[in-house]
Amino acid sequence: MSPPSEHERHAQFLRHYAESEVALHTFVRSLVPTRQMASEVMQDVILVLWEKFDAAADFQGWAFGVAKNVALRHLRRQSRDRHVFDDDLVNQLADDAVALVPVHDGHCEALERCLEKLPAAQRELVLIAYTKGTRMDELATRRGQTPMALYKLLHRIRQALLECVERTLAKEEHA
Amino acid sequence: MNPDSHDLIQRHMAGLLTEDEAAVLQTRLKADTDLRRLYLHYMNLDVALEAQAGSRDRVIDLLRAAPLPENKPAGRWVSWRPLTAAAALLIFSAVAAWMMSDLSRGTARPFAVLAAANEAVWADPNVELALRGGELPLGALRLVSGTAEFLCADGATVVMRGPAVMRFAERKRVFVESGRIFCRCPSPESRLSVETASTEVVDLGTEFAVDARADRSTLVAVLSGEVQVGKRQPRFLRQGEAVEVRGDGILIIKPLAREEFAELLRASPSVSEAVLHGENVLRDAGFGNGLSEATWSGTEGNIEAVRSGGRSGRAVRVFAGGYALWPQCLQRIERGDIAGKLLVASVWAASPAQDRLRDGQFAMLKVAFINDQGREFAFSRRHVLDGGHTGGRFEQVQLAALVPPGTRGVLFQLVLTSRGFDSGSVVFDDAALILTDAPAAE
Repeated sequence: MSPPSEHERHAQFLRHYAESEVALHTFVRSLVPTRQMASEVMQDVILVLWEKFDAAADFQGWAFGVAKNVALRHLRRQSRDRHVFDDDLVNQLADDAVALVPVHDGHCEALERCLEKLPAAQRELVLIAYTKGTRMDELATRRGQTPMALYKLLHRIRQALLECVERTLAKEEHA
Repeated sequence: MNPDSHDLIQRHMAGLLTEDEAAVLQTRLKADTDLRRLYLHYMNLDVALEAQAGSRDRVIDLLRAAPLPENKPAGRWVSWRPLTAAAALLIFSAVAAWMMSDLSRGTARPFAVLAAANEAVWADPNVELALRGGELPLGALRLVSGTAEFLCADGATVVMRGPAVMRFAERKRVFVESGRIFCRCPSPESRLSVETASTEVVDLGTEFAVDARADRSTLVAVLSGEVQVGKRQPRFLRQGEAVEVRGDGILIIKPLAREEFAELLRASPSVSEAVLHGENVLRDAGFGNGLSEATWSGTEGNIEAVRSGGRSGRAVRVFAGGYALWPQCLQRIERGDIAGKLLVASVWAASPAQDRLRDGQFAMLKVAFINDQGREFAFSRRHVLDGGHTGGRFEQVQLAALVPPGTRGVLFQLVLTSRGFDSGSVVFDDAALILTDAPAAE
């Protein structure tokens, strides 16, 4: 069999990456302290994955290994070793994240429905809080709250969303 | 499960975890499979919420700035590096897969692919799934609300505004059953014909809108260029002209009302070049005379006039320099009552190779509307450049808006979102601010 052309390789890569991107991002996010750092790590991850992509290899297992190494390298560079979980836990998280890929795909869809069920003010708040460039201290000031009060409110909203997502998926499972 | 585990996890999400708390969390996570699952669920929620918020923002950007993928097979994604939001990636992947599908699968690619969507609600969820997967379902596409933008195989752009029903009948032919679509055909090979129950519109190199109404009548309006309306006794429409074709096929030429033009702008992925022929009201638009109170001023210590590095020499540079907020260069324009005018603003921007923007930084063109008390009460803005930008290359950013009632002046702002970094700068050059009347029929 002839080796795949560059276009075929690119298409295969995109297909694999699209299937695993959410799981990879979730895994990376679990290793680093901030969303910003997770995004930065993911940008490096995608570049390494593309440069070294081998269409014949097991993409998911390999990609999680790459993501782990890139994330740890990033943390070292940022002198954030104190927040790095040890190797055993990192590997446990990688295994769990792979096992949860189909579950988390369902989560994303359920989340959209759960967001719609939130009171409008809470929905707007959580989406603003997650919009690129939003600073929590500035958002709190704009809302006339202390950062801690805002943090607690977001905490409650996230917990409610997570419970809603699980309820939604459980209902669908039993339907 | 320990009740404060939720709190520990959320403190981690907020970046607030202390070293001791991290150690506690690690011990618990290693010992408890359920807690690890919960932890990963929270992380997934974090990523998904970011995608929800990020995708909204990004799709809006796509619709506004229309930097849509050109029909090139590779390389585009690298310049989209900051796009890590899952939803944006999905759309991008669909576009990229579509671009390559005829090569990689040996099959014909669809006539069009969904390139962007804004609050789009489809009548059939399966249609949405197919569209997000880069496929073009057979039959009608029923958009209940929101907007959906398609990139056609030959380079045309078709924007649906819900509620609307249409289908891609053939490679260069679109049938609109009901509702409004907007088409942009940038090249001769991209030209489309659009059919409705009462007429056919043949593009002759233009941007135009078609509104198929419930009474079988059709409104055709031309934003720029020229179209041919009707088959047997065709009429030619040019910029600013509109025609109503009754259900029985009778054509009625009508001027394009300002409100309708405004409505069209909302659907248009970009502003026609034609409106840029008006007078540039900015003083020293090319930054040839440096900074002064009479022309350009801004955040002291974070802006400087530069003698070289612009598109043709002099320009202005806005740099982060550790400033936490939005350093900017600005000019105030006071023109009396300008409400109802069409405003088009543009500028060229580049991040210099020796001080490139960092990840998370970006530049912005913002126009703030000032009332008679001198206060900003509304604004329009658009992003340009970011950390993935190739250093040294100029890009133009442009925005358009109808000036709101009560406007007495505008603030033209060239902004850098510095995010507190010490480095990262943007060179701005050749700014323009055009105030013009909405085009009317000749």
